[in-house]
Amino acid sequence: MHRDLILRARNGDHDAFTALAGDAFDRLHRTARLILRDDDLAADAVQEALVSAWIHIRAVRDPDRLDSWLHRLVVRACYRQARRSARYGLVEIRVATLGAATEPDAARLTADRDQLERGFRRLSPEQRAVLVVHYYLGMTEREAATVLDIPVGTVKSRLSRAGRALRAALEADERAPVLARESTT
Amino acid sequence: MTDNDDLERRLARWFEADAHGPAPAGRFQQAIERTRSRRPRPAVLVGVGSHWVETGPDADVPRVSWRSIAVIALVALALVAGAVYVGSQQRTLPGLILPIGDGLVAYSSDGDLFIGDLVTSQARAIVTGPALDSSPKFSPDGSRIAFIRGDPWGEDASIIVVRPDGSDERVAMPSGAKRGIDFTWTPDGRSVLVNHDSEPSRTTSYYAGELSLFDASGVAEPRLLTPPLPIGPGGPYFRYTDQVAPMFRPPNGDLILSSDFGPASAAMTGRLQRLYLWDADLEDRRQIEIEGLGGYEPYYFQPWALSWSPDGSMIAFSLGWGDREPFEIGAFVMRADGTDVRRLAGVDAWSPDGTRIAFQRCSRYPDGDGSVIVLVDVASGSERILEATSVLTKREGEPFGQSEGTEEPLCGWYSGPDGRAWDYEGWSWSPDGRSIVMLERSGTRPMVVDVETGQATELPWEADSAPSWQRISPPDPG
Repeated sequence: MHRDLILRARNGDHDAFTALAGDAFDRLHRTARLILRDDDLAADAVQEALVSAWIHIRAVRDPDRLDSWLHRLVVRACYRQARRSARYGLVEIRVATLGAATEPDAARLTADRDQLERGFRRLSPEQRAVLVVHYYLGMTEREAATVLDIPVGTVKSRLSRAGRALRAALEADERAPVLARESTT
Repeated sequence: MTDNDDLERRLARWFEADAHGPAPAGRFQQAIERTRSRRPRPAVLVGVGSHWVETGPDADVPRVSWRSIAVIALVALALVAGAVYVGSQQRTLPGLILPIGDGLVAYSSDGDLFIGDLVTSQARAIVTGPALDSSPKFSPDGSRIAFIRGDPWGEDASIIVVRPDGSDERVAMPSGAKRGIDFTWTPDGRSVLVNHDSEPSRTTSYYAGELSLFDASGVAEPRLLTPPLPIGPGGPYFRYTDQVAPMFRPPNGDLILSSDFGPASAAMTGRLQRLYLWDADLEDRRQIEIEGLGGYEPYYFQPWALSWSPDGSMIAFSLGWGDREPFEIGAFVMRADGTDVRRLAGVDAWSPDGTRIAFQRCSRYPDGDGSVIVLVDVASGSERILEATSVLTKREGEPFGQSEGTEEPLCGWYSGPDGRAWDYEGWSWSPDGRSIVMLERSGTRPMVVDVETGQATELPWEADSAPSWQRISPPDPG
């Protein structure tokens, strides 16, 4: 069925493409939201990716790899959205998805998530993407290399750097950082 | 259990918990509506952006025979050989601050390049085909257009140069040379300076970016400008991820403006804290010591807002400051040596004569949110609102978003049901300084605004890149 839809979409059947996109939309949006930390930016990124997917649908020769291809387009769209959001100095307004932290464990969990959120935001879009693809989507380094369009060695080094940067950000967060003042040389 | 294991577990748990929840209502339908107006590209050469897709057993994509490829190559070779004789003389136009005529506007749409005439509103395609072409930019003398072919983030990106009618196509930067690219013309119009990813040669936790010079005619060998620059504790000076073209100082390009993260202790923030001026061959740099920002510390620069005044005497920039979010944000201008710092209301685009700066201001009205274009006099700081730009104003439906913890509306943060965000980017003054053209951020329709009357007109073109305006020689007085 899936394969049939792809073949139909490749022949210009927009309804078939709509069915494929509908099947993937929530999954793609979750990935984009984790990278961009924002619902609407993520939706913009997925929309951009789907438009690109439709335009290039005839490039899909292996139906089994459609999902990887869509994720690749979404990751690239996320990079672009991240740049645009930086351009406009936008700040996401997040609403906690859990109830109020009334128990000590819940409070600790919430504090942990807040700290991760702050640390994660300090990473570059590329670093966020490699962490999401590897630790959320569960892709191997080789699969991640395909989705991120970088060599496997770069995935490894980027994962390592992203981990180091996140750890350093978390440590800096615990020390209540203050931005260094301008110093001239 | 190692620290690594612990962090990985925390991350995986957090991702899993944070990923739940539906996508915003209606966004799927909106995305599908966007696709409905497009058409799939032909299959034969659609590999752009999809070269990684392995050929499956059921592949039925038409193949191009080696014979056809050879014929095409021979024809292309003949065309290139013939094109060698086409004029390569550079015309020298007056500097940006002198009067100059308006030419055509170049833009890309759906992977093809177009030329539009704002007088007649007519547009025509100049470069078409299955390749994904985007980001056209006119050369300083208006005689050629450079653009990116392929995905700027992909391995297949190249930079092509054509004449305004699409003829005399030359490869300035070949496919596979660099990735993560943005570019600008050198002031003499002979080369394109490319800002690109330096991976995997660099070992830094932050974005690395380098500058390379490519001959616009595709003849001379490219030259990597950045090494052996040290990547200091403040991080690299030319971040490819910012996708901000290198900033030559007008009119002659004797200096290049850049920035870095500042001292190592602040590098983790990923925010730009220092500005530098480099000589044009990047062999020497000096930090701009900025006077008069004492009341805004600690601060950081927003890379998108850095720009030279047209005469090269001043720099406009936008600062964020404060110890934590939400940061305060403000626009400033200063002399190139860091003196005479003054705060302005906004800094989107300098007028060609350097006397005014235009920007978009969002405001909250009783019946909704709206935006207007404002002109700021650089010398006095006085403002003039283009009252007739009501076509930009959005007064109904969903409000704009707002900065966290403030009531300040943000232009275009939320798009309405029709997908319009009511926000414009890619600001470009006409060379004669009488109008501004810009592109709706989430849409496809460029807008041209008369700066005297404020009349805003939506152009009947579909564009997906910032319009680039052609500068042409003034009429011969004789």
